[in-house]
Amino acid sequence: MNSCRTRYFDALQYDPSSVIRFPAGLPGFEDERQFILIEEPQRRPLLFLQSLTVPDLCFTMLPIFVLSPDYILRMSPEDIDLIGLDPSRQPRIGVDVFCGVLLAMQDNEITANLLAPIVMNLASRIAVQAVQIEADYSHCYRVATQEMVVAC
Amino acid sequence: MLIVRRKPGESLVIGDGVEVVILECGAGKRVKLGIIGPPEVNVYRKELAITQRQNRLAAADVTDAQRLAPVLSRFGRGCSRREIDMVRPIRVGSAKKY
Repeated sequence: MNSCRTRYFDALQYDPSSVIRFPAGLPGFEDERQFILIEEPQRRPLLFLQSLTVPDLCFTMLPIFVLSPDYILRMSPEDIDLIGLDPSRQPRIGVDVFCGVLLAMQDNEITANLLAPIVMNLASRIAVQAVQIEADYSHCYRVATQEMVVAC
Repeated sequence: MLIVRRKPGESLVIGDGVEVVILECGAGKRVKLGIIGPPEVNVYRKELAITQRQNRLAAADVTDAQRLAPVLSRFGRGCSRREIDMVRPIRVGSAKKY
C-alpha cells in the first residue's frame, strides 16, 4: 500500500493498482497525471478525484447518468486512442469506460461540465477529460444552488 | 466582431505571423480550416479553453460540492451501485474540514 496526503481526506492509503492515469493531464492542470478516486458512502453518488502529487487538488465528480441518463459520448478519435481503445467506434459507458462529470461552484450555483466528461478505460484505468465533438452539452449544466446545498 | 466572407482556398492573416486558410466548407455546416503560425502561438478549440476555466473553478474548493449528496436525491434516476463499484473507489469515512 502507498499513502498520499490530501487536504480533504487526511492521509490516504491506496493500492498502486487503483491509480488512475491521465496521460495528458486535465485542461488547466496538464502536469497532473496521477489521481485516485475516493468515495464517502454517506455522500454517494459523489466521487472525489484526488491528485496524488498535490494534496490541495481534488475534484468533485458525479457519474454522468446521475445527471443525464441519456448521455451519448462523442469522443474525438484522438481521445479514444489516448485511453487505449479502438478509435473507430465510441466506447460504451459502463462497459468499456466509466464516464463522470466535474462539478464547479460559480455564481452561487453548482454546475457540471457535461461538455467535457472524465472518461476512464475500465480495464486499464487510463483516463482523459474528453471535450465532446459536435455535441450540444453544456459546460455549466445547473445542478443546484448554494442555498439548496446549505439548507440540507 | 469583424465579419469577413471568404471562399475555400482563400485565407486571412491575423497579426504578424498567423494565417488562417479556409480549406473546405459546406458539408454538414462544418468548416475545415488550416492554421499556419509560429510554434509559440497556441491554437486550440474554444471548448478546451472553457474546460480549462471550469476546471480551475472546480478545483478551487470542493466543500460546497461535498455537501451536495442530499440534493442529488431529487434527480431520482441516478446510477446504480454497480456503476460506482466498477471504478473501485477508495472508501473513506468522513472527510475532515467541513
